[in-house]
Amino acid sequence: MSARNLLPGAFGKLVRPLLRRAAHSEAVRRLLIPALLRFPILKRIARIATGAGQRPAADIHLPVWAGPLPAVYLDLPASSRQALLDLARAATPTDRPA
Amino acid sequence: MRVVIDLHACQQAGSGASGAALTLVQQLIRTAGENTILVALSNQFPQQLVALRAAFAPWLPAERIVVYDTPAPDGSACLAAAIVLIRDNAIANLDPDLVFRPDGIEQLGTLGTLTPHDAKPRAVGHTDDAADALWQTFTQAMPASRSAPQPNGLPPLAYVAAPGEVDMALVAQLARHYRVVLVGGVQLHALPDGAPAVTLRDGCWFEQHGAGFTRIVYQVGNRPACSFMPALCARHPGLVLLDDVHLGQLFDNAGPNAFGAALLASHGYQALLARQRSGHAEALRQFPTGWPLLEQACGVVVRSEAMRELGRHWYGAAGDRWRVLAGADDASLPPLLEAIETYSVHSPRARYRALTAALGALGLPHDPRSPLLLEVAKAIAANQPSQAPRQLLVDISALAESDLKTGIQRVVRSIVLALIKTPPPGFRVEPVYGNGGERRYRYARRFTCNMLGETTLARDDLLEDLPVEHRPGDIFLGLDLVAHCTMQNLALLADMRHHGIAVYFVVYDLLPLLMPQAFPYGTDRYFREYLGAIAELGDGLVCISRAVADELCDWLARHRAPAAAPLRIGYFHMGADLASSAPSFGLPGNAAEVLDAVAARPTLLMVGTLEPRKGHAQALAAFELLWARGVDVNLVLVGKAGWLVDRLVRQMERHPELHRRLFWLPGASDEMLGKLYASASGLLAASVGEGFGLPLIESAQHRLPIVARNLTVFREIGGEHAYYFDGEQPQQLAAALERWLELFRNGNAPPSGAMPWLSWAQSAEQLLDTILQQRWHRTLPGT
Repeated sequence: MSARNLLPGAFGKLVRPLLRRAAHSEAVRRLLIPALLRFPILKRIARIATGAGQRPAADIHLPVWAGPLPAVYLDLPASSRQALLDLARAATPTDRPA
Repeated sequence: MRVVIDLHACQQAGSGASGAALTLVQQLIRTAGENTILVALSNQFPQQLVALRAAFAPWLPAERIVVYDTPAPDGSACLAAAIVLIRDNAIANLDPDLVFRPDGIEQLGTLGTLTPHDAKPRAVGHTDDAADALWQTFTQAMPASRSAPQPNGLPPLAYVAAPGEVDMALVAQLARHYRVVLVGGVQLHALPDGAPAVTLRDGCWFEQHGAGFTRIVYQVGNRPACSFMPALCARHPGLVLLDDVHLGQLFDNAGPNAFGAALLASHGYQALLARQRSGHAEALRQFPTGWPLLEQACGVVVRSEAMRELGRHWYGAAGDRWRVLAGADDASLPPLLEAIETYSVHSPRARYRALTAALGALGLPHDPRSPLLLEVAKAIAANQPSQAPRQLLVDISALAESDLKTGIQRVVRSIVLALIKTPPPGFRVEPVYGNGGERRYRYARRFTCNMLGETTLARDDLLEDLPVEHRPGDIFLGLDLVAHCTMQNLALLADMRHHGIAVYFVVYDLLPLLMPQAFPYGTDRYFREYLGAIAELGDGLVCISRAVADELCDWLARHRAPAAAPLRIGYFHMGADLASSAPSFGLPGNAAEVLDAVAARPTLLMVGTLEPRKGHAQALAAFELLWARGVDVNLVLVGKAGWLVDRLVRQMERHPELHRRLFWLPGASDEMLGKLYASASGLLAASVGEGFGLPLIESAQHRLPIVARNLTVFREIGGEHAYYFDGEQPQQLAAALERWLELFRNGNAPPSGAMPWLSWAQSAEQLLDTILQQRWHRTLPGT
């Protein structure tokens, strides 16, 4: 059950957009994900939430570049977005051979 | 033999659609016999593409002329090397046995280079009978077979599986041929005694190191524990070994709308409608929803012929390519080994991995904000073949932006609903919208889900209105009238057409040109430019009546710019069943008063936005004459105020008969309109110009008699089932109405019940017949 289900009526209407914005906020994610990874108990909770530790958090292994993705990224179809990220990864030392 | 002729050198030399190289290629195509020829063209010379397509059109189907993308060169050696890699990848994706590249018109003496797979180019001598000589050379150069490459030693293989679900017997067998890294599974104790060792890794490790593996196998079952695999397979594509074709459980537990989104991705909106009818549990049981995973795979292997049959049934050609393991014992291993080796090298996804790795090594910028990297990414993505079904991209831009309930928007809503409910075989219907400015059209997923009642899914972040992925063979249908957006997207639409996407537009009428005085100042100029542009750009124009098609042909005969390609003109008719057009509900506050008045005396109903050409002013003046003569009759107008009718609106608002015998319902719902159709005495269609006249067939559906102006289009639709009048003076209409009222009182008014009319489903079928079966009214030749 999500916060959407727990927050009724007008109060929910006020809070839900804030929660949604917070969930999409890079700053919140930057604070939250390191915290989840820093403390073992939280890490375990995170693993339960993401499927028995199998699903890697999407943001963790993206190549590191400064700042947000370009606005034009949003105008790319899914295949071009994927190609852009694959190229960026291929050109960075993130992918080490097995 | 499958031969790809890459003409980018000719394009580069500027020879375009003329010259000896072109003649030679045409000769090769004509003498191909049983062989298959594909012509590959570069997108970097767009001005030549229309002429080149036209030059090959008589002998080569459109789908065998492929335009591939490369970034524009900037003089740097790095980008030049990248362009060569991207071009070779695009051509390899056409799966050729041989690639033939003429060097260019200036060097035609040597005829060009012939490039057998993995061999160095060698020159072919010039002969008079060049095509025959080339075919002989092709035959000699043809590789004997294309067997899977044999690995040397024990190459590494990643075997990804969910914990507790690993086929350990298979892993043990594979471990005799590969250095197996088992990802996700933790069942080493289940390995048979004496089996070679395997290494254990978790998903996070593989996420980071997967790029180092050429051979990857995903063992996927219909279990929530496998839900991490679609994202991982997108990141590191591999061979998918399916334990089950139904993969709904992968998504059902991943979020409240994850299954709905997977259902939509796998089978389109039709499957969402089926889920509404049968319920979630039945949809989970009925529909395989593995497409988000399977489209990322290098290849798919299933465990039985029955599973492949299911794949064929649900995924068409993509399922047809699935391979079957012989059984669960040792016999299953050789086909699996062959599949691993083949798909690891020769599948488009494997080539894509190799390409991105090679480009990464070239020293391209690694920051995704780099414009260069963006261009490279766009080109690579555009060149990848798609296993997805062909798309019918239906432009509903105006409707998606704001449903103003105009006549055209009702048509758009009804047709798109009918197409979604019954998509043409082999096609996925995708409503799309554009924002102009040469930005790609976007899938109208949120709007369409809302329209279909999938409001929860429409609100979910899973559902993004992504820019459209168009592929050769798709069809773009400009159903909505959004002239400004279309005019801003001409280059984009031309580029789509260059890439093999057929482009059609619906033409509703030519009224701004035929009666400019009835439209705001300047409309005729803009509309003329729009009509000229879509005539130049489109493969065909589909009108909403034969009368409009004839008017369009006449206009184009006088105004069409010279064009290389022929232009087809067709027509279809509108539907009439309100129930199939997502009708609006609710009654206005004065509904009872209006309906009481309608029941009290004969009533003529006029339906449509108030605009000068609709004849409302003449009708009101005629009714004033009738009322002055003591004729007791109602006039009910349904439709909001449009343009150039301010005086008429003021006149009606102050009219002494308003709310007595004159009623105006500017915001009536379809429900109220249905009640009026059912209770009025007749429909008055007083328009001086129409594209179709939807109220006529809606009236016929309600068996409501019709009084219509004597227009060609009304005659086309109404035939002998309506009463026609002439003249644009109020007296002429008043006289006609008196005569009709007399007939009506005596029961002799022409009945409309027998008038033939179509449902929206039949209307959509007519439209599809025109563009898919190429049933055109006329074809205007190219130059």
